[in-house]
Amino acid sequence: MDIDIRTFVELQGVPFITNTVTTTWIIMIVMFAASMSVTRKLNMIPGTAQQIAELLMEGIHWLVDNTMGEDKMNFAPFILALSLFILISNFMGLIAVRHPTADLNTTFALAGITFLLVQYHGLRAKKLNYIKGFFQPLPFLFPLNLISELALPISLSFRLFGNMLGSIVIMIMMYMFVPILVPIIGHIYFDLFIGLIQTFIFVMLTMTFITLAMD
Amino acid sequence: MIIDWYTVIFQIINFLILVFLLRYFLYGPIVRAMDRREQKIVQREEEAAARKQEAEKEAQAYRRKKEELQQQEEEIWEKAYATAEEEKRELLDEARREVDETKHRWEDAFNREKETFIFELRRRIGQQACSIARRCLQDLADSHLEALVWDLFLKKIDKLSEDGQSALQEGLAKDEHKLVLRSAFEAPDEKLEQLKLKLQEILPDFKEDLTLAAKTDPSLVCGLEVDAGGYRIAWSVGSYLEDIEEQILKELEQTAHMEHAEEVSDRGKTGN
Repeated sequence: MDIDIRTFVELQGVPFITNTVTTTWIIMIVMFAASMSVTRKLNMIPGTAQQIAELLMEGIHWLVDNTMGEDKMNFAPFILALSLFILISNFMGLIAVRHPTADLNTTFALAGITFLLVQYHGLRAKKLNYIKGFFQPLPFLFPLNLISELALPISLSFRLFGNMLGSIVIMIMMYMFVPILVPIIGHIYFDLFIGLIQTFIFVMLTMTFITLAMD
Repeated sequence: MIIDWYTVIFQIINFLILVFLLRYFLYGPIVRAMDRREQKIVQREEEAAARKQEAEKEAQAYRRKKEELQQQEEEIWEKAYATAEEEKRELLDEARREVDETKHRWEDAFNREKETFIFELRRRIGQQACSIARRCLQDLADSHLEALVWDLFLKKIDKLSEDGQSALQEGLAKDEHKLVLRSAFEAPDEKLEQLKLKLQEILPDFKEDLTLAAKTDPSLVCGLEVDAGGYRIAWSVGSYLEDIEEQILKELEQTAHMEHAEEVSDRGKTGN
């Protein structure tokens, strides 16, 4: 596992297709194939795969319902995609593939989407009041409010990116100094546990920010 | 590390594509399947509830029917008890009536037997009395009495009415002019001759060929009897005695009838 991002295709000297993008594509293909395989034949009495999928949907519904409210259940597919993508990306370290989430471009893209969603739904729900909110409690505090709003995607993206990159650095060091057995514990902790926690944090914060913007 | 905008854009596009794919190929079908199942479960629950309701209705109907049947059963039992009681009372009444009737019949039969016995006894007493009188007269009969009987008999023939005479003629014609004389004692010849002459007087048509046969019959108490072809001219104490006996029996019968009528009226008064 490398600490640096590999570039496969460059466009005018700028990296165009990197290993982050290819890994993301692989993850997307795997997820799409798995989805197709599960939903190809849905039965009234579900099999194991269907049961897992239904359990996942119920979990997402439960999470959205309890965090955002039942009226925001239309965010469930987005939350599902976000959760699965970040989770699978975080778990990629287990098969010695660089996490796409350990690339700031990925986390920034995800945080950017979240930021745009927050702004869009905030404006849609509150309209002018949403903009007025930036001038609350006092108008001269607008710059601070604006910085605070812009800090949202930055903090989201850097938290996930930092944790995942840190995991890679520590794991590389583990392989360098104690290559036998100990890295297994490192993988369990950094890839599984930290990966799960960071997914949960990212998703929870996304849901909270959208809800705060709308309500 | 600097932001590589190509990668950012790629990742945004990739993620949006992923959201789209998962929305239409995982989330949608699974949620629809879950909804379908839920709907089916709800439908089945509703069906089950409806069936349960129907079953409850049917159970209620059965319960009601059962209660009605029980009520009917009780009514039938009550009716049967009442009918049985009525029948029992009727049978007892009938039995009582039959016993009473049998008792009355037996009493009637007993009374009839008693009356018959008393009647028979009285009749026998009467007959016995007549028989004693007859025997007394037989014992007392002698030639003087016989002569008196003959005189009386000859006078009777002498005073025979025209109807009697013609009947006697018809009898003689039927019996070949033959006359039979029956007497309680042996008839003397001279009396027989006097009788023949008397008969020839009143029957001149049979003057030539009239034959008279004499027979002795002790049952004729002090009496004489002439028989011509079934027509009889008789005189005897026995005939008087028979008249007396007949009178006694008539009296006895009348007394028995009166007693029976009195008994029936007494029973009518007492209601039995």
